[in-house]
Order: sequence, then C-alpha cells, then structure tokens
Amino acid sequence: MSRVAMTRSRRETAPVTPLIDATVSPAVPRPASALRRRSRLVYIGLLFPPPGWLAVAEYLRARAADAKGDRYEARVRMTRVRTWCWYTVTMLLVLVLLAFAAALATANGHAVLHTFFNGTVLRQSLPEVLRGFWLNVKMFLIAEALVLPWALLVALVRMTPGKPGRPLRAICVLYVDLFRGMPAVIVIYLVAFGIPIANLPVVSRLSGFELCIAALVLVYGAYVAEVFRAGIESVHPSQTAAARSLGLSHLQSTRYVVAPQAVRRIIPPLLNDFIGLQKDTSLVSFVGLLDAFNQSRIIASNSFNLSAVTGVGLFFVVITIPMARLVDYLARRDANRMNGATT
Amino acid sequence: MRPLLTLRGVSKSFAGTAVLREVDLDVFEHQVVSLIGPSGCGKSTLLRCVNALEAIDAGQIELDGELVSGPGVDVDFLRRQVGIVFQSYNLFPHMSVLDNITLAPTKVLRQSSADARARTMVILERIGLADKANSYPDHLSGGQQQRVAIARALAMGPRLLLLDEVTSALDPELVDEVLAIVQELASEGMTMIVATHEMAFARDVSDVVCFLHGGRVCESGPPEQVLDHPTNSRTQLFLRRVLGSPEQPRVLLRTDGAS
Repeated sequence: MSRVAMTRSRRETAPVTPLIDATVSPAVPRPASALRRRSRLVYIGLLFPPPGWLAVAEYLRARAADAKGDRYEARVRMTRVRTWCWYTVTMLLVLVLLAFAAALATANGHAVLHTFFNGTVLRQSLPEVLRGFWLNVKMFLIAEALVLPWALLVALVRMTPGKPGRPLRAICVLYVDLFRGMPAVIVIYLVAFGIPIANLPVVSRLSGFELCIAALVLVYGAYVAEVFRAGIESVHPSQTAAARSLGLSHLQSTRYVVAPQAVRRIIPPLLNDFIGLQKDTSLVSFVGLLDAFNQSRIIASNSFNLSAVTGVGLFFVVITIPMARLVDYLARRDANRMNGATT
Repeated sequence: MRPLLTLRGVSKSFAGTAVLREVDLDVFEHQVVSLIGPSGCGKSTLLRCVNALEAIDAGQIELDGELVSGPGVDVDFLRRQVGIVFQSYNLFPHMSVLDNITLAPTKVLRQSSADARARTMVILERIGLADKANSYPDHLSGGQQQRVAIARALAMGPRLLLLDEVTSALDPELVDEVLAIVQELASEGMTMIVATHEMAFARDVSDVVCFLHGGRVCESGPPEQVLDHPTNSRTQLFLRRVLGSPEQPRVLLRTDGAS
C-alpha cells in the first residue's frame, strides 16, 4: 500500500512520490532555423496575386533575416506570411463561389435575371404588392402585441407552484405541445376556415383577418411561452429567496424581481420568434387573404414572371433589419446601465 | 424573561441527508448569537429555516411566543420581523441601490415612495453609501454590496436579523467595513443570529457562541467559555484547526491508501 503524507515539519519518513515528474518532458533541442521546410509551399502564392505575392515577398524577407541569424525577425515575418496565406485561401474560396453564382446567373441568356429580377414587372407590381404588404405588417404588429402578454401568461401559469398548481401546469404543457408541434399553415387553415363553418357564438363573427391573427397568436404564443419560461428559470433562485425573505409574495417577487431580469435575457431569442412570426404572416395567402405574397402570386401568374414574388421576399428581409438594430440597441443600453457609468 | 426566538427539536433533511438534528436554541432580545462550525454543519440551513426559506421537518420555531413553523404558517408575519442577509449579497442587479432598498418597504409595508426614500437615505448615510444611492450593484465593491444588503434588510425594520456568513465572499481587506456595521448594530441592541467563520469577530460581538457539528448544537455558551475553554472534543478539534496551534502542525495533504 502506498502511503503519501506531507506535513509541514516532514516528520513522517514514509517514501514520498514527487508530484512533479521530470521524465514527462525531456529537454528539447533548439532548431537550427526559424523556418520550416514545408514553408516553401508559399511559392504557390505566385499564382494568386495580390495576397499571394505579398506572402511570397514577406517570405523572402523572412528567409533573408533567418540567413542573417535574426531568428526573432524571421519569426515575426513568418506570422505575416501566414496571415497573407490565409487571405489568399479565403479570397480564393469566395471567388470560386462568386464565379459559380455568376455562371448560373448568366446561363441560358441571363435567364435568372429575367425570371427573378425583371425590372418592369417589379416596378409595375409595386403599388399592389405594397398594399398587400401593409396587410402583413398590420397582422404581425397586432399579433406581436398580443403574443407577448399571452405567452407571458402561459409561462407564468406553467410555473404555478405547489401541488394544486398541477392541473394548471398540465393544461399549459398540453397547449404548448399541441401548438408548437402543429405546422402553422395547418393551424391557420383550420382556424380561418373551420371557425366560420362551425358557426360558434362570438368567435365565428370574427373576420378572416382577425381569425388569422388568432391562429398566429396561438402558434407563436406556444413558442414565446417557452422562451419566457427559459428566461424566468435562468434567474438564479437566490434572487427569489432574497425577494421572499423581504416579505414579498410569490407574485410580487415574480413581478418586480424575476420577470424584469428574465425579460432582459430573452430579447435575442424573442427576436428570432418575432422574425418567424413576421415571415409566417405570408401563410395567410392559403386561406385567401390578399397579403403581399398572394398579390405577387396573382401578378406572377398574369405576367408569367416571378419578379413580384422576389420583391415580396426582399420586403420581408428588409423589415426585419430595423428590428434587429432595435434589439441590439436595447441590449447595449441595458448593459451600459447595469455595468457602465452611474446614471 | 421570554426569549424572542425559540427553536425546539428542529430537524431538517435534504433528500434523506439530515442537516439539522433536533436543534434547540433560545435567542433573547438584544442578544447576538454566533453560529460557528465546519462547512456543511447546518449553520446556513438553520438560518434559512428560521426565515421559512426552508420548511422544517420536525420541531417548532416560536417568534415572541407565536408559532412560526409548520404548515399554514403566516410567512409574511414572520418575514416582516426577521430579516436575512446572504453570503452572496443577492442584491437585485436590475435595480439601483435605492430601488433595491425601497422595494420591499413600498410594496410590502405600503410606505409612500417619498417616505421610503427618505428613510433609505438615512440608512445609507449611516453606512457611508449615500453617494451610491443611484448606482447599480455591479458598480459596487463586494463590501459595499454587502452593506447595501444589510441596509435592505434593515429597511424593513426587523426585530431579528439573520446574517449568513456575510463576509465569506469578500476579499480580506473588505471584511472589516462590513463587520464594523454588524458591530454597530450589535451595540445599538439589534437582536442577531450570525453564522460566521470569523472567530475573532464572534468573540467580540456575540453574547452566546453556538458550535454546530453534524446538524447538532454541540456546545453553546458565552464566547470566552466556548472559544477559550471548550469542553466538547469536536469543538476543541474545530477550534484547533481554525485558530491554528503552534505545537500541532497543520496537516496539509494526506492520502491514506489503506482506508
């Protein structure tokens, strides 16, 4: 049995295995040159100006320094050679990709340009597409405003404490599983067509526009509720303990301590879901609403040209950008307030 | 005289591991009781049980003759009178110092915000942090944060203050500014239970020192008695380890292959 004991006075004399093992790394011989043989591969760079040529020029200087015995300068120059080599590689890759794209775009007599980016069609369809897009914008703005409180409610109810909270928690789990799992297009289809047919009190009197918003809120409420829940659970339990110890109730500590911290953390994932929601407003064209996508499809089939649809796609891209910048701004402002200068 | 706080046979276990075993403790008004003992001996759990942050499994806790443990207890009644300060401060990072302190008085005690502010500024003035009222916790040093945490507990006007190793997370040079405040509170007559690893502080500030080991109170009494002339062998061993003893070298590392 080995017995290792170390005391301050080293009074015990049992055999001691040292913690430092000198046999692991024996002395390494000093290399004669700072350059390696395979670094000559840099001459391939002569084929790819300008970064390749810069790499070669720097390599020649490194060799000169190495020959003089200035290992330090040679080493510094070799790091620059490596940088230029990587530039050469990445630029080559991008050039290859661009060349491939250009070949596709110009093939068949610029067919891509005519099919997707026909200027005349784009210009002529603009007013109608914009009118349709306004419907999408209204829809996602209303839906987003409704999703936030609805999802927060679902998340909070799902976190009801105690055994009596179990039925409430169960109904929330069921809701989230159902609407997060079901394709949005099917929910929209069922709600927008099914509710009027079923002829129910109150809800059947809603317009198609309103029913579509309801369907989107149902689907995205499930996603966003999970985002909220993750955010709330990410707040350390010691925060709740501190709040409760001061006499705040469960609801008060959630309202004033947990939720404000959770909301700050979930803004980025929330943005993802909102962008998803914005894009999915185009699904309402399946139930006959004249949104931008539907308008552009009509134009496409009339003009035998897809350019209007491309235009709508780009509209959706453009509209997400201010949102992304706003979220960046909010995150920065919060970080500044909590970690930066005092206000 | 009736004690302010009485613990009788308090037991608590987590997932089958007993953390407190039939703890009895009396704390009288204006008394400072120190809990000492090795890590994991149940000091923090005891404090958390007193404040009902943890439910106890057996026994009774009485505050001023009122039963404050067991099912159906009015935790709000309890927590309005018993404040707790945590080892890791647990300030609310999204609120300024002022908001941290005024939150509970305005929401729980329903003080007007002007009133709560005025009271808070008085406390902050006392602890030397009046100029930090609008700072956020992350801008403060650990010692300053812990002083704010004490101020936050004091703002509720507690009759009993629980301090859970309030200096354990602090750099050594910041410990004194926090202990000075605790010292001051003690001299003003605040009733406190203090879990601590600072033996010198326990000696200075407390009326009673309680040594806990394995969830039991092994020894308790005046600091001179417990700290200088411990009778329990576990207390003796613990104090020897903590205070160090010149004739007995400290064991740094021992790997016993035989066991």
